[in-house]
Amino acid sequence: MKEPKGITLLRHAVLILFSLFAIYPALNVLSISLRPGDRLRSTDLSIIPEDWSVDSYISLFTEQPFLTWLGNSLLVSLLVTIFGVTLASIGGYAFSRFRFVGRGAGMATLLTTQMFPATMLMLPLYVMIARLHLVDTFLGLMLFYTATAMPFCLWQMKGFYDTIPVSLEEAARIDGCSRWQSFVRVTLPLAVPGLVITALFSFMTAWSEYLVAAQVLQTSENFTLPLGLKSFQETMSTQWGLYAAGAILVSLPVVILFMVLSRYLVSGMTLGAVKE
Amino acid sequence: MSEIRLTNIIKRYEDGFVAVKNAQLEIHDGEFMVLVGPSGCGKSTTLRMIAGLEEVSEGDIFVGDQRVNDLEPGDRDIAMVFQNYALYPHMTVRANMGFGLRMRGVDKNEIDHRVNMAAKILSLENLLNRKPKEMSGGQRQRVAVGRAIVRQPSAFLFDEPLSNLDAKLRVQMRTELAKLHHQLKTTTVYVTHDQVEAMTLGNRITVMNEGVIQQVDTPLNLYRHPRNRFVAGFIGSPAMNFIRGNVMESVFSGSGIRLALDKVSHQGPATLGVRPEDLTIAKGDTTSIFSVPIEVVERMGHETVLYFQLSGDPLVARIEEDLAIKAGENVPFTIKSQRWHLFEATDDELRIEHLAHPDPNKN
Ligand SMILES: Nc1ncnc2c1ncn2[C@@H]1O[C@H](COP(=O)(O)OP(=O)(O)OP(=O)(O)O)[C@@H](O)[C@H]1O
Ligand SMILES: [Mg+2]
Repeated sequence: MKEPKGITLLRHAVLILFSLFAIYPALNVLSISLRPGDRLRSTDLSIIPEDWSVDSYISLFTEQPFLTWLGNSLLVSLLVTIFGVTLASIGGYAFSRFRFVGRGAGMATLLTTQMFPATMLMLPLYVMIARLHLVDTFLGLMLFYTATAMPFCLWQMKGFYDTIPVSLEEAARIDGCSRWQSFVRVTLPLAVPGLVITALFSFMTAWSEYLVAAQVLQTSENFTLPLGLKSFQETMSTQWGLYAAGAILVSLPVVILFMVLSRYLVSGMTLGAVKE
Repeated sequence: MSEIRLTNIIKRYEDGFVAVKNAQLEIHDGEFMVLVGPSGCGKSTTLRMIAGLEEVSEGDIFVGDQRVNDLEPGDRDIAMVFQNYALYPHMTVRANMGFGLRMRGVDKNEIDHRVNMAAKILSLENLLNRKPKEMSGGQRQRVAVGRAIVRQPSAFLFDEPLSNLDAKLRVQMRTELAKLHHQLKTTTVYVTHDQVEAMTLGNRITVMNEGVIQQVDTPLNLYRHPRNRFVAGFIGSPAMNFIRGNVMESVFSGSGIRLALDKVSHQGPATLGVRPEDLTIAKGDTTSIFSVPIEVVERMGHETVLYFQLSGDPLVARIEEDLAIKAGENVPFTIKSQRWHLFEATDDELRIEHLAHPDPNKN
């Protein structure tokens, strides 16, 4: 179908406008990170300033404990991802395939937990973590991240398994698989797009989280990246260059992840829409 | 030895619904047994219990001499072909067909050998490296059958395997399945609600209704000696005509017709059953039993199908010639000599045996 030129132009104009809205802040951060000194405000409109330098980046790695924070963040995020994917892939399967007492109630409860703002959970959470003597430990942080990400992950995986015909597992069982083997050899490979989304969500939950980390973690060596970045702000004068450079580096892995996994994301989002 | 035996099988689903009621069934070694019945009568449930995909509530299932109630599906030495084929989408045709053997730890060369053999039988040689989504429905169907035969199991179970194919392919696959069974002689249980499939494929047919096995017999015996009115109406297309009435001293009367029946001891209310092809047009000096205006005429070339009503009962006649009859025309009908069935007017509607009915084994 061919649409009138005017409509095409208008469509593109709107899209470009919104893209600018989305990209401008990021470009601005990039620009700040390249400015020597702490020039937050500048009348210079060019994205890469004429006297650009990577001093801020170098300083991050040499003078600041950036690498430690990066390691902490990676450790926490990857472990949360592994926990999340493992538990959700099994739990979601149970919710999708088995009929047990409390199944409906369980699903509803999981959904309900998503309706409370995270800040509301902060105090009871802190009390629990403190009683478990897990303040200022990664384990405490990971427990919370996994717990908060789990409802979404479970729903996601359950929805995904629902789209995989049960007869495939039945065929596998007749072919000699145990229930577990049919899950591992047939269902799980078909659920990869769902697993990828679940993994990405778990990772993101942990990677960019600030509020909870700020409660649980206390010593600078234990900081995750968001906490570390914020600490540049806490001294009397904010080190904007470091802050911006750090922000760019923090978002880089996420951007790369999204690009690599976009194939799965699209198939994951459209899979349920088409009948087998 | 791979006969399958069901003794007093009852299936009660979790919601309390009883889908199969006290089923007794013996499927002989090498036999092609077809399960037919209307939708929801419990055919799939029965098949799935044999497969081990559905638990048996009461009764026992034997494959050979072994009671299989508590065996995993994979340990029952049966293969199943599903209505939606259930091919593993992430595996190639070769991997799909070899999966069952791989799970059983069969040697790699042996798997290849058997897959190649099956592929040859089913003309799948050129498709072995494709994924299921790259194939047509008919081809997928073949792969599903191939996956079953490479295992060389003691029994095949089919659940409406042809219902997703178009009419032409269905006929083609039907004959192929018949050929295959002739070749392999593996005990087969085949679920369908297509009675043409049932009549053409089955050595014997089990007719089910509302969870109850109505009759088990060879196709022709079912056709000629239906045990009750349900079987009589279910087997045969177009279906048998039924006329309600009364029998008094071997004369049936009802819906304005009178028919002399020989040697029937039954007295009282009954239903007369006449197959469409046993109704003929009265010619010459044969006296017609009834004469009615025709409502619809279907001329097929080799036969003519006439639809009309007799005191409100819709009836069908199938005449084996091309007749230039028009709708609205009045046609005199008669019933071929002794080609009628009589059913009790009770809940079971059992057929009343009458000696005069021609013995099917003699013609
Ligand atoms: N899991 C279940 N729980 C409760 N009732 C069920 C369940 N599965 C099937 N039934 C019921 O059992 C009856 C028999 O079902 P079954 O699938 O065996 O029918 P069928 O003869 O194969 O019919 P069709 O020709 O439509 O496939 C149906 O009335 C169905 O509603
Ligand atoms: Mg069925």
